[in-house]
Parts: sequence; structure tokens; C-alpha cells
Amino acid sequence: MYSVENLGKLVTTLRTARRQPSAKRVSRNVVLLGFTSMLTDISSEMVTTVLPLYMVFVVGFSPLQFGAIDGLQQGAAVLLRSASGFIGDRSRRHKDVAFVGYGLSALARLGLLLGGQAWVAITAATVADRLGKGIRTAPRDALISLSSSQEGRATAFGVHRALDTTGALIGPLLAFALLTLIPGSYAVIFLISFCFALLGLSVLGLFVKNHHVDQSGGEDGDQEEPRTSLRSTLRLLKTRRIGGLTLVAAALGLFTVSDSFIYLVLQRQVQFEVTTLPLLYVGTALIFALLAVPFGRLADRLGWMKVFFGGQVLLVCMYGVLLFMPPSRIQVGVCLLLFGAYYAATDGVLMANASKVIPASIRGTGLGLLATALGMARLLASIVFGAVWTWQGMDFAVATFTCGLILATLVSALAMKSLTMKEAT
Amino acid sequence: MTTHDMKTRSLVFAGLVALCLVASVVAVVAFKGQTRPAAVGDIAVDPGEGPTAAPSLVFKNLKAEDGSDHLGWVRLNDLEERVATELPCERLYFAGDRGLCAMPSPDKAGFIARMLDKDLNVTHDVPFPGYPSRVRISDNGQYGVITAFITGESYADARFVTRTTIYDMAAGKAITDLEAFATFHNGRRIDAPDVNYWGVTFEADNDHFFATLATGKQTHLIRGAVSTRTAETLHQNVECPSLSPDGKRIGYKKLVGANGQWRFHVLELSSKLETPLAEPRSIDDQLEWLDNHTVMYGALEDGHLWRLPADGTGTPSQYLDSAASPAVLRPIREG
Repeated sequence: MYSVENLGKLVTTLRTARRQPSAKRVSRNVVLLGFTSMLTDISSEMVTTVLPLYMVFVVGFSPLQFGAIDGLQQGAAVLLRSASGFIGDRSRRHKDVAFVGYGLSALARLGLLLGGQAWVAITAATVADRLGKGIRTAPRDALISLSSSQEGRATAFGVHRALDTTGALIGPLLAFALLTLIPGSYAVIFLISFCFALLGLSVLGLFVKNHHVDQSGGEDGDQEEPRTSLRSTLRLLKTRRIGGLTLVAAALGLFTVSDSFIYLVLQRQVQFEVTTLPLLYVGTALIFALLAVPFGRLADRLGWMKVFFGGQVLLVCMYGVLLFMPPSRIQVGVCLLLFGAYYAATDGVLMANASKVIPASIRGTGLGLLATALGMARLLASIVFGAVWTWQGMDFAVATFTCGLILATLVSALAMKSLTMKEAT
Repeated sequence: MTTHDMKTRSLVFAGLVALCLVASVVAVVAFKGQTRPAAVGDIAVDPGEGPTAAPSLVFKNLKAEDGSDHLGWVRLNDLEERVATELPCERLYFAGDRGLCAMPSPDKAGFIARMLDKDLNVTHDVPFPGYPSRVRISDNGQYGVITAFITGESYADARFVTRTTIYDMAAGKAITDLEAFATFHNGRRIDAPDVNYWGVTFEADNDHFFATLATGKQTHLIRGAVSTRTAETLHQNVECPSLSPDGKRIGYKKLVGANGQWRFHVLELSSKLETPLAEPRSIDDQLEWLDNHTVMYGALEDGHLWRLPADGTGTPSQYLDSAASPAVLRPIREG
């Protein structure tokens, strides 16, 4: 048994050694997936920023009406993430499942353009877009992981996230530029948005390769790939490695205050104009986009835990700034810097590491389940934060969550450390 | 993929890019070429001719031929002779020598607060975020107030959020929001993330006002002062209060039953006695007092203005057809 293990490890080392020159370079597939996400994000963010204006000024909704429309779709997308990951694994065609997701969103844009002012069309279009997003996320992340080497995994995710976020930055700018130059040009915005979605879809369809086997050969060359089924995935969740990772991610997510609340807290403290709020999102996204690749590289070089938990420390620091730094524009700037850096150090890095410990045959399902767990933890966090704020005030809520986060970070870091040490022996 | 295959794919992609570019350019050119709607002009009148010269009702005229809602007015003693203008106010109010019209901005990307003087000349245009819902002015025209629905940063965030801004009408600037006030309930300062203020009505001293505060699932009547930036709760389940001309009673919407239905009530401020009014329908409007005995409101369902005795007796009767957002204007020179 001992010698077989050794042989397996030898084969793996040889395989990776042969691929050494390109091990650190990000594969073409990942870059292409990045561009797909970028083009699609330009498309969706263009619409997202102007849709409230459109619905209120052109179609004549009251804000309450479209709030009601939107509330309906929130739940469905969360569950879809796991389902689509599973379908991708089963069919071994992650690319095609992702294509359906991106395609649905592109069709949604078309529906918005052609639907005119019929509220049925608008509702259907927004629902379809949400569903599309839920469908494409897990297979896309699975594909990124399957298209990149173990050593360059976090860098690959970093590259993808950077391109993705850049798209999210360009979208609103483009939309507002169009509205300023050509007032009332909602139809033009929808058309251009559809064009970007179509181009994003084409990049995926024409140039991205479908992979269903981990290109790097996996960490344990002799480990049997589990059958793609929900049961095997759930069994995997029970293992210390993946179960532990999911618990850590969920525990940390539980004490993560949502973006909207952070910006609300800042607005209350600094008392700046409500119209400046979107700029805060842009600021954080900018930092995220700039730091995603460098932090990904750092994670590959130093190990994911240092970067990931370093990112959590950055979040704690940000909460500290909220609590202790006197309210000012500089305070806001520092918060955004820390917030964006936190995202860059945790978002892609977590997925990259998770993908390393989930076998290729259930990669999509596994990543999907992780995303679902994270999503639910964050939702709970939002509800609790709002409740604590109402009960005891804003400062108390931030302080409680800071303490909780410090505790969760320490416990998780120690737990992960002991887990890794146990495996090394 | 073979090299030939790649070439074909690249060509297809290039073709799509070209198609998208052409379509976008055509769309932009075609849209720009469209005749723009005429800029909203001037509705100024000669001194002595406008609604501030004699007791009048200013309102949102729903009778306009082209279907859009514009400012209109009538003399209180001659409701038949309606004067229509082309000012597209979503919501409006007049008091003292000033008017406030919440209307779409010329570029249709937001709303502006258009301030008018006694001859309906435009004095200021101040943009504000969100969708206007309630507009009021203090008795001498000094302060104007607009409540607007604010949407979140993405439509994913569209919770029910209001923002109530107080304007200095002479200077044409926003002074403060109610959200910045220190509001107290039973001696404790209220500090929840979901507070919403709306529906301001001023007292005769042009400083104190009443409004609605909502937090959790409860609405409160609050009384505050612009000068101190503080307010306190007085009563529960009061929405969109409107102070009577004699300053003794408040007309408002009260939530009754379990289905979000409202019923107009009048609250006696000294005794806190509530009297339900005789309008059985659930109407979403801020009452306007015609005089100390009569209230007025716009019914969305039929698009008319209705009048109702303020003591709970009688029945609703139609006051003016095809109108909304009423403002009763009596020149301040008169008693």
C-alpha cells in the first residue's frame, strides 16, 4: 500500500513537472471565460443601473411595484446554483450548461428591448436574467478550475474575477454616458446591452473549450473519482477537508455585513448625499479588479490560507475603521480600500482552493453547494444585522459583528491549520 | 480545433462584432434624429392673474388632451373655469406666495423640484433623487418639503425607502432631510436602519411640523421643528398627516383591518380623540383642508377630487373632476 501511494505521487510529480513551464501561466480558456464574464457584466450592469429609471419614468411603475417584482426572483437563483453545477457534472458539459445560462440572460435583454412597456415583458425579462445568472455561475467556476493547473489555480480565478469586475465597472459608466449624451435613450441602451451579451455568449460558444477532466491530474493521482451524484457530493461534504472548508466559509459569511449595510453605515456617519452611494460600489469594485490578480498570484505562491485569512483580517480592520476612525471622506476611502482588498483576497481564492479539494467529477456540484451555503449564510447575516441595529443601534451592531468576525476568523484559522497538519502526517 | 476551424470561428466572431457595431451606431443616429419634445416652457402670468391673486385651488390636471398630467388651477368661487398649463407636475403644492412642482427633469433621467413665485415664474430648479410622493409648503412659503421614494443602488435593492427633504424656497436650496433629525420615542432616540419619514404638514409658526415616521411595522405621528432638527412621536398609526387651518386637528390615513386598507380619520390634538370620516374607500392621499370643516383628497381609482365633512358625518361628494394633488390657496393678505 505504501509503495503504491508513493508511485502515485511520483507519477503526479512527473506529470506536473512536464507541464512546469506553463504551470504558472494562465490558460487561454480562463482568459476567454474572463472576457465572456466581462462582456456579460457590461451588458447586465448597463441595464441594472437604468432599469429603475426606465420603469419609473417611461413605463410608469411606482417604486413599490418594481420592488415587489424583484423580490419574487431572489430565492430561485440561489437554489439553481447547485442544480446547474450538478447538471454540468453529470453531462460533463460544463460549457454547454454555462452557455444556457448566458444565453438566457442575453435573451432577457432582447425581451426588454422588444417588450416595450408591457410590464409582463419587463418582469419576464428580469426573472430570466436572474435565472440565467444562477445557472451559469457554478459550471463557469468549475470550468475555470478544470482549465487551470493546481499551482496557478488562484491566479486563474484572480484573472477571471478581475475581468468580471472590470465589466461591472464599465457597464454603469457606459449607461450613464449614453443617458447624458442622448437623454431618454433607454431603447438604445437596451440594444447595446443586448449586443454585449451576444458578444459575451459568442466568445463562450466559439472559443472556450469544454473540459471535464482536471487538466493538472489532481492532487492524488491514485484517488478514484467519485460518481457524479448528489449523494457522493454530500458524502464529500462530510469529509473534514471539504466539509471543514464549507463550514469555515459559512461561519465567516455569517459575520460578514452586506455591502449595502456598510455603505448605509458610512452614509449615516459621514452624511454624504444619497446619490453618491453608487460611487461607493464603483470604488470597491475598482480596488477589487486591480488587486484580484496580484492577490491570486500571492495565494498560489504563499498558500491559500495566508491570503484568505489575511483577507479576513482586512475585513476586521475595515469594521474597526467604521467603529473608531472619525467620520470623514478619508475614512470612506480607507474603508473602500480595505473592502475591495478583502474581496480580492477571499472571493477567487476560496473558490480556487475549494476546486483543488473537490474531485473533477463533482466539481460543479461541489462549487455550487459551497456558493449556496455562502449565499444563505450572508442572507442570515443581513437579517441579523438589521435586527441588532434596530434593537440596539448602529454602533452596537457593527461592534457585535466585529467581535463575532474576529472570533470566527481565529477559530476557522486554527481549525484549518490543524486540519492541514493532520493531513500532512 | 483545427486551424481552418479556428479561422471560421474568428470570422464569425468578427462578423458579429461588426453587426453589433453597425446596429448600435444606427440606433444612436436614429434616436438622436427623432424630434425632441419641446422643452418645458414658461407658464408665468401677469401679476394679479395667477392663482395667488385670489382664493384658488391649484391641482394636477388630469384632463389634458395629450394624456400627460399638468398643473392647472381654478378660482374657488368658479370651479368651471379651469386654467390649464403645460407644466408636467407629478405632485405639487402652493402656499404663501410660492409654489413647488415636483416634475420630471428635461433629460427624463430624474425629477426636479421646480420653485415658482407668485406669478408662476420659475425661481429655482433643484434636482432630487427618487420618485416624488408628497409635497407641502409652510404657510408663508418659506419652507418646501418633498417626500420621494428612493430606490436602492441596484434594482435588486429596491426596498421601501423614502427620503423627505426640506428646502429653503427663497434660496432655492435643500436645507436638511428628516433622516438627519434626532427623533425620540418615549424619551429614547430612535436609531434603526429602516426608518422612513413622509407626509409633512406645517404649523402656522413656519417652524414646527407634523409628519409620519415608520419603523419596524409601526407608523407614528411625529411633531418636530426645523430650527432644532428634533422630533418626537405623539400617536400611533398615523400616515400622511394634514393640519387643519385652525391648527387643532390632524386629518390622516389610518391603517385598519389586516389587508393594508386605510380609512381617513381626524385626530383632535389636545384630546387625542380619533374620529373616522365618512369615506368608506381606502384612499392613498394626503388630505388637504378646504376650510376648518371640510377635507379634500384625490381618488386614484376615478381620478377626481372629493370633499368630505371633517367631523365624521355626511358623505363624500365630488368636488372637481379629473384632478389630483390639490392645494388650496388663499392669499396671505386676506384673513
